[in-house]
Amino acid sequence: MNDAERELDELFRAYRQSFGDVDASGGFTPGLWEKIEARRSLAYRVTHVARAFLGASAVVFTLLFGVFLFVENRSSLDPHESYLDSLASAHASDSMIESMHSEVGEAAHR
Amino acid sequence: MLVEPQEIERARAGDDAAFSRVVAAYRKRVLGTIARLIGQPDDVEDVGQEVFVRVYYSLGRLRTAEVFEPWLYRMTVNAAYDYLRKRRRRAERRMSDLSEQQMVSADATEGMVRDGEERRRTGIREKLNELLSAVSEDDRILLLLKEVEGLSLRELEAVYHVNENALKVRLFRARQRVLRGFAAAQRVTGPAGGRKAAVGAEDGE
Repeated sequence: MNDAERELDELFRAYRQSFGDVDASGGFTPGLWEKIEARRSLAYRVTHVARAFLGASAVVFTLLFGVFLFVENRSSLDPHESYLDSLASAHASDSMIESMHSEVGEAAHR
Repeated sequence: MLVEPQEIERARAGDDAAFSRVVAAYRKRVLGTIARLIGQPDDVEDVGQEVFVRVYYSLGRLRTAEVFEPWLYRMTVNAAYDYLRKRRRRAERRMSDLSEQQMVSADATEGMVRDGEERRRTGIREKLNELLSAVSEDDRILLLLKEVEGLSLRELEAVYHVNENALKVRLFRARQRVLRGFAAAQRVTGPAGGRKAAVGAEDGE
């Protein structure tokens, strides 16, 4: 070990001694419990808000899904419409289905 | 261990009184380590409280009470590391906000406040902190745990979960870098000045 290394070791020792005997003040433990409680209540609030948000989201989703299903069913259910009418209206631009429909109609008249 | 493993088990099970007893037993050791790792006596209690808050909320994840001490060291090291990172960011912001003239007058005011014993101690801390600024914060903490806290390689292995050889390499490199800085400073001030600074620090120069 050379001089520089020995002196560096001395500096490390002096550094340790420079802090003396470190101990907490009287406010350490009460302050610690305050911080623990503050974090507990923050965690509680965050959990509470997250749960409320999840619950509200589930309700809104269920409502919207219900409305969507209701509207879908209502638009597709017409008691006076035949199967081919429904098919034709669902594929209004499909000429083949239209022609099939007219052919079936003519055959029925005959 | 400073407390019985059963006490830690009770604290782990949610017994606040047992946790308070664990804090009382380890408080001094933890605060001493933090003081030497961060080199800033004013903020030691804050960082110490942060360590024990983390301990309180993480005790459930501790495998067994027997590994409590290295685990507590790891918590302490992590909190000190977080503090050092925050302090560096704050210092960079503050420096960029101040004009050169303001920095000179701030240094002068700080110099007037210190005197006697406190000035000598601050001098030693500043000297070592300056030398340690040559290595990363990780290596600074590792070096302090070994050279100042006196942890053995085996204890460091338990704290860091890294094998002994890897730690030896990291320690050697960090120490060599600090040593180079130290030798360079010696060349500027002269060997007598350097020795005087280190020895005088102990003698209460």
